[in-house]
Amino acid sequence: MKGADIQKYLPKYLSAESQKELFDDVKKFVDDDDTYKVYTTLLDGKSTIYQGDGLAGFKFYYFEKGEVKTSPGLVLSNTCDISLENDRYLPTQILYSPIVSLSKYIDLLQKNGMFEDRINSHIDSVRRQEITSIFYIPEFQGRIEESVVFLDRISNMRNSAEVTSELLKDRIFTLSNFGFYLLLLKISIHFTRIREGVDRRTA
Amino acid sequence: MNSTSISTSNFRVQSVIALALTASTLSNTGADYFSSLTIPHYPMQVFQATASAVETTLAHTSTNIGDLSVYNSDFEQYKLIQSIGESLINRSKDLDPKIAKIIDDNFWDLI
Repeated sequence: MKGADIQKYLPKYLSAESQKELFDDVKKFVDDDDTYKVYTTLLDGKSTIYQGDGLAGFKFYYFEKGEVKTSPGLVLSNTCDISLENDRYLPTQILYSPIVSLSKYIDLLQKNGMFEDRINSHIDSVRRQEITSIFYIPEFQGRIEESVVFLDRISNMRNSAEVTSELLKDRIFTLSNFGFYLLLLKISIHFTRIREGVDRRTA
Repeated sequence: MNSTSISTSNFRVQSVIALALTASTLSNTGADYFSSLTIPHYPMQVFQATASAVETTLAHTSTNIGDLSVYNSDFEQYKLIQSIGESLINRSKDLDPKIAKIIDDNFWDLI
């Protein structure tokens, strides 16, 4: 492959320092060293909702019960897609999945009769990002405890200046370069296994 | 309904990496860009090549890369990105059905 081709797949928009940090964290993840960093504080206070942001004010609906809850969620929409600076004929909705505290999740499994060793093994898998439908987010001190995001429980809501402004009042976290890559890869694996093993001949 | 379990055989690492890496710039690319979603096998021999062979390789690049160290550094980064995709795919597993049922039955209480 030509050098120019390789560059297409590299984050050349990052500074040398940011690239080094990103690739150091990639190495750590691959080597099972869990000291990689998935959050950044550099974008705190920005008036943009970024893909992968954790925001506290999302609405979740339980249609069968007619109930609504406000709870933290993780933004799955692409940053550009939900940017209000981009004019669109059809306004976009914000896609998000609920963020659930890991301790609450473990409590639920315990209360439902799961054996401790099976729970521990499952939580190990979650922390190692092995479960394709769950995105694990580590503790961010002072902001969020260890949590999980269920990628198959996606909701959507209207995207407008008012909604964005309201959501940004309570941003919990923004993902770092590495955290963002990790999320994109998890989403890609969850949704786009191209060779699904099904013959889709038309007739 | 289709039921296919997770496996590395039904997944293209390169495609995922290409999608992930270009996600922030896809809107600015032309249709011909997608042809590179499948990354050809990279010839390792290039690193064992003689100086003249390396020069030949660099002479075919369409950018101003004229420095082998930049080329090697990019290749290392490319391999690292590929390794995280492979690592995630190799680790991938489905949710234990018993756990999945517990989640489904109690999801509203979790959030």
